[in-house]
Amino acid sequence: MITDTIDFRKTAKNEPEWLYKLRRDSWSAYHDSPLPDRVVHLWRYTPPEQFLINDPHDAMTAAIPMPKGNGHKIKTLTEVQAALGYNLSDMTTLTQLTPELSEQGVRFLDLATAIETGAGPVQEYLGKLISSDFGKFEAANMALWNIGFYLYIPDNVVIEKPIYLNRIPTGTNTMTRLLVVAGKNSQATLIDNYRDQAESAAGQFNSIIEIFADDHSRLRYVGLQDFSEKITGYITQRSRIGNQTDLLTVQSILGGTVSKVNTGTILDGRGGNSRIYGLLFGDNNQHFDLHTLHNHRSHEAYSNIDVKVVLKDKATSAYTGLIRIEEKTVNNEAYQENRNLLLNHGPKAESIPELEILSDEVRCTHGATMGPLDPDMIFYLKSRGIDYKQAVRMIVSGFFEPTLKNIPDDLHDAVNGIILDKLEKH
Amino acid sequence: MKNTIFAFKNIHVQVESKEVVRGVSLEIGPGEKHAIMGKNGSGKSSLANALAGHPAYEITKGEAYINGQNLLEMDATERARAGLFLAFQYPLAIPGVTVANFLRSAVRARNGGDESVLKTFRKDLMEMFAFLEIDKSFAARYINDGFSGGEKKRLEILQMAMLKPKMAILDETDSGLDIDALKIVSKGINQASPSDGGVLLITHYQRLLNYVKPDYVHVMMDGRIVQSGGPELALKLEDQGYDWLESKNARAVEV
Amino acid sequence: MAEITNNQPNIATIGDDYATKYGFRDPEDYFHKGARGLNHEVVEMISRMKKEPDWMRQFRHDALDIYLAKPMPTWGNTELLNSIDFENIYYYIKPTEFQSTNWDDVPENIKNTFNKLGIPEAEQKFLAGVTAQYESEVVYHSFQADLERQGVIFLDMDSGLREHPDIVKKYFATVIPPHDNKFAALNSAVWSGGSFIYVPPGLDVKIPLQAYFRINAENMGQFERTLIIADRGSRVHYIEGCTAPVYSTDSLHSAVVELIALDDAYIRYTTIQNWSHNIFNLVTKRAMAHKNATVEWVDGNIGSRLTMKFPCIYLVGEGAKGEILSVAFAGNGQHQDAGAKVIHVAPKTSSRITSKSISKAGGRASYRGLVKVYPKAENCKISVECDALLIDGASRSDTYPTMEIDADNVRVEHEARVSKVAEEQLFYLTSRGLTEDEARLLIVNGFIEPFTKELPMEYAVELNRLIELEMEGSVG
Repeated sequence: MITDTIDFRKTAKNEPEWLYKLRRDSWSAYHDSPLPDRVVHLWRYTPPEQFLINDPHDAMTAAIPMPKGNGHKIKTLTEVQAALGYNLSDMTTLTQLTPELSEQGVRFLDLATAIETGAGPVQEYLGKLISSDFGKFEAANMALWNIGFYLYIPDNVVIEKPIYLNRIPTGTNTMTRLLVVAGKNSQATLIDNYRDQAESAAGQFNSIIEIFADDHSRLRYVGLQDFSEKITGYITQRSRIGNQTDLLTVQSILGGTVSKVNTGTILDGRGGNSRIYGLLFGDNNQHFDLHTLHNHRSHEAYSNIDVKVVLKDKATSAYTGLIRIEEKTVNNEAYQENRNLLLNHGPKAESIPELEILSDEVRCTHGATMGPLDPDMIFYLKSRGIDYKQAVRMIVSGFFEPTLKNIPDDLHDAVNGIILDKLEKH
Repeated sequence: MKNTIFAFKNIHVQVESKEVVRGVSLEIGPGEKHAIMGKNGSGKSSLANALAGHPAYEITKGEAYINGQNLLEMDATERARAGLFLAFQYPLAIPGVTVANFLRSAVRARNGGDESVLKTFRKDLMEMFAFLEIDKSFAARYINDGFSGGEKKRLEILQMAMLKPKMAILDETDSGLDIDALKIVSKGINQASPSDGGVLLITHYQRLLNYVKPDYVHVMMDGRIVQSGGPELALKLEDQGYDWLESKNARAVEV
Repeated sequence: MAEITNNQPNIATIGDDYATKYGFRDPEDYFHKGARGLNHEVVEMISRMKKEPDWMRQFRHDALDIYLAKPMPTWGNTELLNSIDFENIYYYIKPTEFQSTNWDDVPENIKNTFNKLGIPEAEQKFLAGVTAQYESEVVYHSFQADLERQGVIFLDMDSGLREHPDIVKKYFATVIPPHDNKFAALNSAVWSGGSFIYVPPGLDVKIPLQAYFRINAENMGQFERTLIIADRGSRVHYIEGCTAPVYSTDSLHSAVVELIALDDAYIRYTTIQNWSHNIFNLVTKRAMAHKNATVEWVDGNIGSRLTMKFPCIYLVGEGAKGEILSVAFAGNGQHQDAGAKVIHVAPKTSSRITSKSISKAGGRASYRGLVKVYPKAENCKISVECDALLIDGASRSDTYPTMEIDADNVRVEHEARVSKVAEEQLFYLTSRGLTEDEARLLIVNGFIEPFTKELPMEYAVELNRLIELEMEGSVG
């Protein structure tokens, strides 16, 4: 048995028995399951082989052993931040949280430490939205993760300022997790920033995000993936929201050579509101694969998906989305829109926005468009004295603007800057 | 040759390899307002788009000058920077680009990238909003996105006022406006019209010309100017329609 | 819209249903009925009885090997698909020894069947030609003499193969080869009947041609094969209809339809599918549209237990146009897995897909679509619109569109909406004195109006009547 070749007791020696068992079972699930079926839309456009774990031992050991924080641009918490965390390439995690929030019972720390010290509830949440049955590569993460964040927000705690997470590859197989448990009436904004560094090796980055948002909470999650083209990214996110709960999920996918992102919200409570915004800009030979899910399991909930894709050069993108309204639910509204802008010769886009509606008390629409830059828009701007390049910049920035205006200003400008840089290249 | 701001000679225009303008000439002096009238399909909007440099409207023959510069050697951006302005018949929506940001870029471009002109930008913009009775909130809205027909036309005139062109071509700016909106738009045109520049009004109907008085009126038919005159020509068209011109023109062809 | 109800009786007073109107059965008195099940001997027997040329006999055997080797589809409603007992099916039944050109020569009970279905009447009124297929063979065929004189060929497929072997050999299975999918392979192995149409260059066949397909026997497998070639600049409209008796066990209908519209030609293919609810309807339909040609599929699916049918158009010539208009009605126990595919291969091609579905009483309607644009197909325009109406909470609607764009300057627009019959609309209509039943029917008729208006008038009336039957007693 290959499980025997990985001694989870040794690699994660302070972990409790339940986690040891979870890792072992997950490894079996990963190892024994076939590659995903390419017939299903989720895998139709991205070959799964590239996400196989070449070296499971590597996933559990640091790539660049170095003293804590050394070589990384670690910043200290500023006035505009509620918390700041780093997952570093040496597998250390640095977290900072304002004392006030700490006093109010907020916990923000390394996931393994949270388990070890019992800093907050973990066992009843970890892997409950994304279990090892979810998929082969999710099982791999559950078996091998060795770095991650844990955020716990008690009931009624409102965190006004954003929490910033910085995630950096730990080696050729990074396996990281984020677990967010947000109590009733709580509020928070998370900025989850994926980057690599000059010294990072080429490799795979596998990240699992589980968000539990209890009744009446309001959360914003903003993912910003800006890897270099050395990195193959695999990100799976699931959120579960309760009654009258409001969740905004933004996935900005800009970097990496191949990036497969699966994001979804389970609307489990009456009157829930979930919006998922995707923002993808591909150039060169980048390949993006984004899947979104909105699963309405309760009543009177609202969901909206807005995925915008800009491609240039030989970049390719596949968007698949599913809205599923379960039986015997009433008065749900679900919307989905996917717009693709194909800038110059060569890019290729696929779009599969799917609906499965098992209840008639529903309003549901979706739309998808694909096309080049509108020459009439260009002419309109040129006729006002704006040159072609500037006109293209304005139209592309404008294309993303309705999405970007939902994220904090500093990030808004950063993302827009990355987009304009990519636009300028070549 | 008289002192002209804008002149074109024997302009021919093709759209999808079909000739829609067949030899049109005009000279517009400083402070002059000209109107081109004509029925749908007479070629007047094609002429406007071609002069502004729309890539789908190919000028196959003729010459055009703005302030003595050769217009046909410039692309649309350069024409605008040289002082040409086209108010669109169907202004386009550009989602995500706010009116204020767009106008700031355009004003800067019009002034050769000179940032100092932007010092009074906000103030000028707010004054024009007030003058054209546009709500201030439109500054933060996306260009023409979700605007009503009348709002779009007012925004075109606002742009004209902000960009201070030497030569403005207004393509059916009156179409789709009710009488109140027409009055506001006309007020805007009169205010924004350069005293030392030219204005070319393209219209189907005479009613705009009650509010914006042209010095010369030309009638286009089948891609050509078939009649020119003073403001009284517009009144005659209002009165008698285009039929008398058609029969006259047909006779001329027969002869 | 109002005149529709005025012309029609009140829903509540409609007594008959599918079983009496279409679902009756005839006693079996057949010229030949083979054994159940499928193997190379069955294929050999079919080919020998038809006295086919060797190439066709070989084609059938090869296709059977492909069929046997191909797995069942792993997508779609696999549960229903896998419930088909292929060993229990009769793959070939020849009801009469000869084909007739006069209804008087058709055996009495079969003639009565088509009389009840109104075929001879329709023929007289508004058709230029008719074939009537009963089980595996065409039992009746007629065609206007003047069209025949002008060179139009309209035959059943078997006669087509006998009388025009060169044309058939040139085009047969070029649009849908046997290895395309499992059911195309099955059809290729055991095909029988169907229509063969050739329209010479420049000729406009102004009046529609029609085929009517009837399954009578229990556990019957009907595998008609249709090939339509519209030569340069010609025009033709073909209509097919289908019904079957109600049995408790399943029958299978698996047709292959190939359309070829050469340069500047126009083909419209209209289907009113009204199989009984025990029929599995697994059909492959595909068209090739050459330079500046137009192909239109007008596809109505009302009957069957499971339909899997996605009419397809390959736009292979510059400037070709394709349009697919599809309506599906899924009632209790039914799954209408219908949709459309357009494949843009050449530049400046355009296509439009309009899909309307209605799900009722636990029925499931799926739209499954593909829009694909190959690298050289620049400057294409595509629009897709899907509308689904759910009549009650037990029903289901799915939308599975796929768009794959690999060319420059292509504009694709896709829109889908799912809704139920709006309370406000119902209230508005009932406040004008309509019953809720009438109001609902009126709304449903309005919903599918873009489809019915494309049908010849007689069919539109018939379709509305069918919908009315299906909608009966839907309040609850």
